[in-house]
Amino acid sequence: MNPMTRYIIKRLLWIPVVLFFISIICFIVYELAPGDFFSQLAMSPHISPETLNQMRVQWGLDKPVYVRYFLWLWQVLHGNLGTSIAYNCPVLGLILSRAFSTMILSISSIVFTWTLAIPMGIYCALKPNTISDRGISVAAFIGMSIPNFLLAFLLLVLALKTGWLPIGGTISLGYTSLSLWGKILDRAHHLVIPVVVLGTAGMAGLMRLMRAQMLEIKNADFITACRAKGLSERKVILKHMLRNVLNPFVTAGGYMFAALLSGAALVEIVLGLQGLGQLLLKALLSQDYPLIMGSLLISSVLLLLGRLFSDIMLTVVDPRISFESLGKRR
Amino acid sequence: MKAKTIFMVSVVKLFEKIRYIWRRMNWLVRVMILILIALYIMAALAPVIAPYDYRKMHRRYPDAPPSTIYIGSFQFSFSNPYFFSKDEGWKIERPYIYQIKLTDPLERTYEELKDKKYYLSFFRDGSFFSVEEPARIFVLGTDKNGWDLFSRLMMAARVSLTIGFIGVLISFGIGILVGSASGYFGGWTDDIIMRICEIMMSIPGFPLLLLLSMIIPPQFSSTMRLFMIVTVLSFIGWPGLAITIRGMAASIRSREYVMAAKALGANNWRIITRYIIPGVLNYAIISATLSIPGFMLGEAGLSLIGLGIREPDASWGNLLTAAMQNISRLDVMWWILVPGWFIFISIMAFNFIGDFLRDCYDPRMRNIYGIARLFMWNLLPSARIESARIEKVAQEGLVEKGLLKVENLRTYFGTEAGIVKAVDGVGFSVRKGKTLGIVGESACGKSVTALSLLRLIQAPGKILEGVVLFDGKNLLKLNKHQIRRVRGKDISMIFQEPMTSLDPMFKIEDQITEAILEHENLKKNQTQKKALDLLELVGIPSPERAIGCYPHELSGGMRQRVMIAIALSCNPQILIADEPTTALDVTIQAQILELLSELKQKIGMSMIMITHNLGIIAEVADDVVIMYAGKIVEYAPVDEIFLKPKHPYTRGLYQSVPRLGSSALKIKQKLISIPGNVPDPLNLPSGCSFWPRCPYAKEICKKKEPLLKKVGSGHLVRCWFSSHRNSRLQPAIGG
Repeated sequence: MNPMTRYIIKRLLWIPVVLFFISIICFIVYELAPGDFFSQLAMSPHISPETLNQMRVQWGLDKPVYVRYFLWLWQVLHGNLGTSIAYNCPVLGLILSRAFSTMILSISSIVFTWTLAIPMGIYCALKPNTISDRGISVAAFIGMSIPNFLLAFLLLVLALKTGWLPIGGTISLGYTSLSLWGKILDRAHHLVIPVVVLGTAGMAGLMRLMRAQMLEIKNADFITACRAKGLSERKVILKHMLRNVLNPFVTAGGYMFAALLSGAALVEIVLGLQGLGQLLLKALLSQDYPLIMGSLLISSVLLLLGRLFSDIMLTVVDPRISFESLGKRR
Repeated sequence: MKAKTIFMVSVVKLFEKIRYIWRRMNWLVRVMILILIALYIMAALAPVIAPYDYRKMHRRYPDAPPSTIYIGSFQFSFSNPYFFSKDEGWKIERPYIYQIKLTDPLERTYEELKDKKYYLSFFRDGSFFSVEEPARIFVLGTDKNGWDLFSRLMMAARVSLTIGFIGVLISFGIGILVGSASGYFGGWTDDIIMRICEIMMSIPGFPLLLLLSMIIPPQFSSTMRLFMIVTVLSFIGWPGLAITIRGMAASIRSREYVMAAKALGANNWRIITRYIIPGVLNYAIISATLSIPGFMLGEAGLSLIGLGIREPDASWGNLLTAAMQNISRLDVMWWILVPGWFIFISIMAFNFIGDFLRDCYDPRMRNIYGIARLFMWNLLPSARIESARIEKVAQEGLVEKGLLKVENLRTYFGTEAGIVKAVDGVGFSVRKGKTLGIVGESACGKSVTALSLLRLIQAPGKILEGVVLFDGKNLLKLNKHQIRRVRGKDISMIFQEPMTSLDPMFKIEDQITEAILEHENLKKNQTQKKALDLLELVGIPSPERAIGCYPHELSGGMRQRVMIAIALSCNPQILIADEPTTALDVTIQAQILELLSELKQKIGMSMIMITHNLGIIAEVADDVVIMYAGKIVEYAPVDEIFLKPKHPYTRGLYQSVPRLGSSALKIKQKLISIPGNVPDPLNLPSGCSFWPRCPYAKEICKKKEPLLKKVGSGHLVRCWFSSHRNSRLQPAIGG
């Protein structure tokens, strides 16, 4: 069995353990909050306390904490993530239905961010401290400093005033009647604002990272040695420099994907997108615990898998890193 | 050491740091710092600046527009239009406002009652500015509850800025302690702590934040709620920091000075506080500054959902949320979003300053220079535009001497502290099949000379003047494609550090074939065969195995041989060797030198050997150039240099080599060295650069710089004394 398989198996075996602890922590934290799903409904005069208690029993909310936890755990181990109290349908189904939109948004944002940030970072590093470098850096800072939801809001107002872009949402009303091409265009049209919002924040950090890494590499001995071989500047940059700075980007990439699923919650609310972030948010606010636990579990799984993937990619990209050294890297 | 001394030392160190940072600041960073200071002062003085209590509801004025302040013929208002001036002549009078009255409760329109002017009074009743009742001054208007937005904004500053600051303090305090302990103690503690951190970091951040915020009972008082939110926010940040700090602590722990301290009996606590924490503090401060925005955004995010600071308390987050939710007045939107501006500016300032601090402590960023200076530096003419006269002189020299002729080479570096004249008028020639040795101490310019020959000098360096004649062409005048064809093919270079001179990401095979394919057009199997031949030529055992290795899998000596192989791949006429053996141990050194001599004879190439070791020169060089402070001080064939050194520096170098076997001969020998230090390149001595260390220095040496003069056949010296044919210098000890 080669070291890669052994490493992957070790990591994969560790994931359920981590998830177990995560579920305990989340459950405990959730329980610490006062009330449960039906507490809000208690405010309404139309619903009698008896009805509420009846519903509690129906959903098993009257049982003590540890019993509920083990019931939930038992369920999960059998592959059943439970039923959402608010929506009254299986958690897994809910998540999957939103997954498609969220996935498209995440992938578009990542593509947008990376295709812009990497070249800009390289350019800034090649001409450091010139006006263009400073200008781009300042623009990056501005992008990094505006709160996401505020930017979303401002763009929304812009869309309202100019009518160029749709005012939030993922699809238009007549979506189902459009042709395939029409559907793609429609989604793309709606994606402009979210992608710009999510992209600008990430772009700044990435660009600064690329710039810093390239500046570091620029003075490396082997780069001078490569030039002394007679290689063209373009080859030196694109082949040698880039390969050497990939390290932190692989790590960043692994995190980015998972983070996008949960960090976009506020933007989704402002723009009215039906995504996973918004689903989780609503669940949290309404204390819909099966949905909360299910979403958190899935997000955590994605995060852990993303991290595993980026660690493996690190060994592929950097020959100095072996699977043994990865273990020590932590 | 006494505690007081330690304290004083750390205070002094702190001052040094601050002074260093201050000198590196550019105007933008200073502006950002001033902005932050202004914001914090504003927050501290908020009750004074705000004209009204921030919780007071002005019930008769819901959704009031910003007050218009009349100053003579000007009127100022934050709403429409912003700064307006009536053209009635320029009168400046005491500012006043009018009282406003609600005319339409549904539309929330107001009109000004222009019957009475209410003058602004300053510093009355403990407020910065105010007006008499019943008029109200609403700088930013009111919201739907009748709260004065300006007052709330000022008080909100306290909340938001505190949350950021204290939250980061707590989070980082925990992170540093946990990380340092984990990295320092290792073993079980380390494992457990790291597992915990890993688990915590695997929970998505924002949902966890929300979960924790929901624990806070809604009936908590405002200060309690603030405290709880700060705690919750700091809970999220520390695991990430702890993991990084732990790595740094572990590496500090294994440093020699820590081990020495331990051996001297320092206990754990002392080591942590004296070595580990100061070592990680730099990174921690930078990280902290860059995390404060995260905290402020976290609070704003919580407010958006209603889990943050609750009304009637004010924070920038919840003011912004309230504004966004009452967006009915689209045309006056920008001033409704003023809280957003404040958040944005604060975050910008923290990000800027954090980034600047990070650049400060980055040793690679030392050479940063301002835009203006860079622009001027780029304007300086480079050696492409060169005088024809020098070329002609050099041309004649070349016909005489052979392969490569350098004349009047000047390479300067433009740094923040001034211009460093790394190579200041250097000229020599390389004969066919012979080796030229360039000798000097560190920072004398020998490496820069070598790099200048192949035009490998990068900004902030620039080759300003000079001629490098090779093969009938001036290398300094070629365009970038032409010089690329010379590099690696006609003139090759090997470098000092084999560790770092090979690209760690590519196999040896790739790196050799890259060099071959750049200049020759061979097929794949041909290049591979050639690579194997080259490796055999340089004496690598089992080349088939080595060729598939990565650089880090080979030893230093092997790597240097690989570099030589790469350099020789296209049969260059000249090989420039920049201290090729300095980084290797002595036995390998001998092998490499032998290899180079062999190759030189086999292929018939010339060599430029750069070193500070006279022994190597004695072995391999045919001609020798001695450099000091960017200039040539002596230039002669190798026998002359050793038998009849003329320049005091050369004599000093020669004398400082200890003689083996002196104790056996019972000759008492002191270790002779040249007194003094290498001069600061930014502050070279006047006249002859060597006079401060020269035992023969006289007045003329301090005033006028000597020129290179011929003192024998092929022997040039730059010295006022040695330039005479019969010089009165004492003979060198030991002949």
